[in-house]
Amino acid sequence: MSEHQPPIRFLPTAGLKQDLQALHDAAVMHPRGPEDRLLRVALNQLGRIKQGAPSTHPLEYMSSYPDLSDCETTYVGADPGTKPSHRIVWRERAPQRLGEPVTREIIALGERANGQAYYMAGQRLGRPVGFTLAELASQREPIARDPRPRHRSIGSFGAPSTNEPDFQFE
Amino acid sequence: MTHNSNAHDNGTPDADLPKFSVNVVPASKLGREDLATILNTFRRGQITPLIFGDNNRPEAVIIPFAAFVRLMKYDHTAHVRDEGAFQAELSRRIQESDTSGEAGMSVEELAESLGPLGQQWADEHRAAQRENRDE
Repeated sequence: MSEHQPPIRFLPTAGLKQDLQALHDAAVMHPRGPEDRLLRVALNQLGRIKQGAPSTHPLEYMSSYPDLSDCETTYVGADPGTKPSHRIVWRERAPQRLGEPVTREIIALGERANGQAYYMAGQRLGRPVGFTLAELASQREPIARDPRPRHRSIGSFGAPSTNEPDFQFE
Repeated sequence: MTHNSNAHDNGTPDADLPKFSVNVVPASKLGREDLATILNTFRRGQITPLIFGDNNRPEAVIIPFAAFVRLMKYDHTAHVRDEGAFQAELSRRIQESDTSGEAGMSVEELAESLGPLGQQWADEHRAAQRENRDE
């Protein structure tokens, strides 16, 4: 897609807002630190996505990950001299009616390490690991399977697990 | 309690908390006996916190677990309220865009909703866009 496209509806999900908020709050604590730079780079990339820029590459199905084959990934990093540390996962939805703009739904901003961004995106889209979109669509009931161990939660304040498998994809 | 920052806490009641003084226990002086003592006072129903830190700066506090949960609930309520307002605004814009064909939320507006650094980015971004248009 070129940068000069018809209007795109930019749809930041609540999850993305949380990701950005956490990054912003960390950046406030460390002015001009890596979080500050990463926040700026991420916002710049979101601006480009909103303007119609292509992703770094589309995602493909891998059995060890949630199926994100309808999604795109955009690389983000605070340090241009190193491999980008974060990924923005998003998807483009065609307009439902003639004349409506294309929607770009931004699902997650997360770390590349251990595929964290992709697991997070899958979780937010309600997609368990190891099931293709076709398999999920054929299920009458939604599948709720989280392969990761749960931390003890107290009341409604359970800590999210950080135990991730040690594989990743770009 | 869910954030170690009050950067986006404007409007919460504690913004008007009157000044108060605290006794700071030097962190290096804290021993197992002190922890046992404070635990016993909590068990007796007293809620006096134990505040400690280095260089006479209050850096950490030990409070009853029930008080911690209450603070978490307070933060969670504030977070849900803020998130609800954000989502309501987003839904309104999406509905508007469905009928008008206009774009929904801009990245600048999203950035501004984050706090001061987002606001700063949005201002700079808008200025850069104006410059580009003027060239």
